[in-house]
Amino acid sequence: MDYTRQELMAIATGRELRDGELAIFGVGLSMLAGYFAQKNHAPNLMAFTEGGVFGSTPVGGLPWGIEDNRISANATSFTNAIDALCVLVASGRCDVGIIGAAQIDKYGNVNTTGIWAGETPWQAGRYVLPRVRLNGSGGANEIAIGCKRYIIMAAHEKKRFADKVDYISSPGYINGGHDRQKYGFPGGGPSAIITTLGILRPDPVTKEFYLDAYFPFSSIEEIKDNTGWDLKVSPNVKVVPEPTEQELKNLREVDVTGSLRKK
Amino acid sequence: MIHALRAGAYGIPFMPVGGMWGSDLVALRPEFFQVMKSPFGDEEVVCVKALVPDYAILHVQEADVYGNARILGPSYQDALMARAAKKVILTTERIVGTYRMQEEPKLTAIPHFLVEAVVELPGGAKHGICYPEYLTVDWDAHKAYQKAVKADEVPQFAAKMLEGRL
Repeated sequence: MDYTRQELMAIATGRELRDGELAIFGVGLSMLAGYFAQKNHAPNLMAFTEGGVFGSTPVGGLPWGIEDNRISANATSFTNAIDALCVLVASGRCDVGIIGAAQIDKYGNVNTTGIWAGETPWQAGRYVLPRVRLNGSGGANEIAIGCKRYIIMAAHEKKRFADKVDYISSPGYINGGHDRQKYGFPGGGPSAIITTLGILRPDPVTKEFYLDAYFPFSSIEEIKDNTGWDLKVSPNVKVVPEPTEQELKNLREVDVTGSLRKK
Repeated sequence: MIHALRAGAYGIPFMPVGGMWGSDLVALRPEFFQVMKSPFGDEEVVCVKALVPDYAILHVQEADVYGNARILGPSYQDALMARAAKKVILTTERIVGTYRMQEEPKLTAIPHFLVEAVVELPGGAKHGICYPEYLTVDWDAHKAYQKAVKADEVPQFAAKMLEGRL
């Protein structure tokens, strides 16, 4: 079957969402994955954006930002970011979120702030500018803290999958174990990292992410080679089922501009 | 009260507020009000404890069957109450199609997933006011209500009102 890595990543992410859930998606591929789920198997998924756009579906393909008319043309409510991020997400009411990551570590901490390339952002008590400045957390920090669970999407490359992120923009399980409870976060933490090669899930006790399933075109070796820590592999590691024709059709109806088709 | 609801809506334990200084309420009700030193300087600030009502019962001009609600008059703290409460019950002057929400999404003050139930109840804010449906208080009904409260006869008053016998 003809599909791209990004398409299977979006479909595998969409499969994590259930009908009737209250959901928030970050800008970009997260939105395509989320609205694919709504079109495919979760018609009563209630979705909103961090800008306070409620009840809409993308019209005309991937929105380039949360204020794009493509994600507000058929909305039932416009309120504001305080409503979306403070009232619904950070307060702990939202069932599920999807965010992207530029850099991610074995405890699911996400860095979208900057790349310090092995140096620390704090030297001699001062903040040091990063080598590469990224776009910041946006609403992803609230999603990471408040959603009952959330899913992280990331391109599976060694430079992105680090033993420890340079900077925590959106916390996963911090240093593992019960760290989230220690900080008092209302949300449960990342339930999966869906990559361009497979699916990682957190160990129930240590919270270190392990390989749970790999895509049909990938392998355990390829994934281990592209991960910056010594990735543990589930004894029951599975192959992710290929997209069905129905799934691909529904995904491509959401992604009409083909942003996931680029190889 | 508004700040207490804000803290409830945001899921945080309290809210520092402007105002309240000099009110005896701060000293009288320490279980709701405390004075705290700012973590950023020497100023002191009054803090109000979060309020999370079990129910908010709100009357609106228009709602759809899913619970999306339009408030066409002043909104006071109704939208905030809907966000602070655990469950929201709406009464509405009329049920409208969801297309009404899509025509002007900015007027949807309450998104549907906050709402537990919608009841179509024309005149539901009487004997009070519901702009622009009915614009003055029905004082005769209000006096009858006050009397009923004093006489502990509110159910009888409600029955009369619902039957249109007031």
